[in-house]
Amino acid sequence: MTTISKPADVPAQRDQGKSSGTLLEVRDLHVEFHTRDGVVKAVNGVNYSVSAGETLAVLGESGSGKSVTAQAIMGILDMPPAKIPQGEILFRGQDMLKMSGEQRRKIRGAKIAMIFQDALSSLNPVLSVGYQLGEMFRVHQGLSKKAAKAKSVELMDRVKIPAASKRVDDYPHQFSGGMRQRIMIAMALALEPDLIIADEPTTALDVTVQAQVMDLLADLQREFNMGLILITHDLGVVADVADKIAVMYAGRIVEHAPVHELYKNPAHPYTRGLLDSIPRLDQKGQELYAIKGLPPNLLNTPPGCAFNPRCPKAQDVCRTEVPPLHTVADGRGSACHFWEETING
Amino acid sequence: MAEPKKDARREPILEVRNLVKHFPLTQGILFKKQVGAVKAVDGISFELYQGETLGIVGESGCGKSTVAKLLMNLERATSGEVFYKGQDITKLSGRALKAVRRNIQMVFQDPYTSLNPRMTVGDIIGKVQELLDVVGLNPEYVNRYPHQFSGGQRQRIGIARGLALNPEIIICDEPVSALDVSVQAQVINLMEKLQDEFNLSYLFIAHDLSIVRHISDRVGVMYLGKMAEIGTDEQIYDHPTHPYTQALLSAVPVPDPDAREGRERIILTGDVPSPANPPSGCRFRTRCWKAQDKCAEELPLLAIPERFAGSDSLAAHESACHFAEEKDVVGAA
Repeated sequence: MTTISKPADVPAQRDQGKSSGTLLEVRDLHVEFHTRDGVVKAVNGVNYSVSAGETLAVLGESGSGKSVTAQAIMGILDMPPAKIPQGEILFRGQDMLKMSGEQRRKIRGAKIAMIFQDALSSLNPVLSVGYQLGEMFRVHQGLSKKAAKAKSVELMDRVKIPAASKRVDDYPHQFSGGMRQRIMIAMALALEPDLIIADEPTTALDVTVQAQVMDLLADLQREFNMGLILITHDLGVVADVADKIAVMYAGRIVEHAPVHELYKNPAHPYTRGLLDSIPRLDQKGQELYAIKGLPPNLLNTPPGCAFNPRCPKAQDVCRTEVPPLHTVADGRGSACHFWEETING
Repeated sequence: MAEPKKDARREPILEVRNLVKHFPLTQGILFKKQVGAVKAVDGISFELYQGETLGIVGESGCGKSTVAKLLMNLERATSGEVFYKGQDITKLSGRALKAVRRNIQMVFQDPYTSLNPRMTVGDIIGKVQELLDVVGLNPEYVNRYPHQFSGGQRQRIGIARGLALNPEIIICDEPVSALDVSVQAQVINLMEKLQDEFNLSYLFIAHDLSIVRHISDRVGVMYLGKMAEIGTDEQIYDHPTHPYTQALLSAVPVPDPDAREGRERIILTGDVPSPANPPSGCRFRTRCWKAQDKCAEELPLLAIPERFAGSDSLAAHESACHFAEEKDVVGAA
């Protein structure tokens, strides 16, 4: 692996990016947390992959394991209590789980960067944003203080923070929520990574600011031809930006599909339920469809399909046998025994 | 779903007139002097009718939660009146206030921090078992503590507590924003069912425009302490005339990937100005693409714009803009 040269002034084309192959591949990943009350199986055999220039949305409710998977990729899980008993995380073909701490640190930040939901608590309140941005260059590239600061201003300009040269010495609390999230994006971009993982990047922001930030992220992704894993629970944001979607439930991927197919014709009852349960802006609906019951407790996941107690289609087989991920079409899968019935309405 | 409930001749159950709340900004430790004020709510008027849901939308800092607190008299209004059945409740105190509060209840955003962790659910609600049943919880849960419930169940408890005194008005401040999508629908459906059953009036405050449209009969859009536009859900969503409403609606992501290309996005620049030092004239002018000199000099009043006066078009509703014009941004028409 050599340092990546970015097509800075040539806007990268999506298709060209795809031909350059898979950036990251997660294979049969399992993550457990060993707690006083027992073993929490947060991730139970997740598979997904992202290529350069591609956006994968990982959709799920709280406790579905979407963030834990991301943290495992970044290598920022606290171990213990967390444990990865099984699985591979391949970055450009190399299994990161087998690497030494030193090797992983070289990838983290430089090749794979992460953006968190809460920008205020991810930034150090007693250091100026310029210092924190510059740290990336001083530590990873050995630049001088002065050169690092100049780079910081450049980055802040790039994420469209007005009057960047004046604001570089300001502290995090002096910025608004949207501006702080831009600083987080700037920090993630600093070393021109190949892949960005954004965990609920706009959940804490107002809609008008959310639109600004998502626009910025999409522009930068196109410009640098980066891979993007977008973790979210918002079906609207996903429809806007994703190329493909993986829907997670109780630590498993229950359905994965290209974005248009998934919205048009979901192949898993959970996905269908989610899509039916959101109110629409453009039409006044009747009573909302509500998925009955609650997400399962991961200490004690129901036997068989984890969704079976809440599923309108559940049969005896669903209570005993875990459904495998059936291939529905090319690049599409559903972990439902009755996917054929589901997809046909 | 509620049937259309607007009837202009009916008496409003709650009438808000020119409500103002300024939080003083002080300087000095021993001798505090006021150096300014945060104008959280700056002259707001609206009515709430029996059995209807009025949605209030706006971004963080627009004053929508302060309005809720003022209506509950949890904060004292700086000026203005809130008439409940003809009686101004902002001036009440003691026993008279308590009596009114019985009829106006509140459901909060965070069902965990708004329930006392050391009281069982039975203690919190009062005439419990019947109410637990009404909100779809197992009546045997009477002796459990809040931490033994999930988020959605806690919000049901919050609603049951709101109902306990048979109120006429329930003020809901972001009641479902802390809940997962699949649980959100359950709580919304429950609230609609209860409204029909008990003929409740809801003031539904939220930032999620899709949910507000779903549940509301009328909707008010707030910006920086002022009402920008108010009308029926159809008037606001399908025929908005205020540029802020248009920008807000266009920014909401629609869960339909096919709409990605076709929809026009109005991306606002900059941030909301500080309510301690709001712009002169129209509050929105600093981010508005239509702003002209007039907008800085003259405060636009919330009224039916002249060009639509007398017209029976759905654009003829109250909008506080000098240059109000219709624009379909949701793409429903």
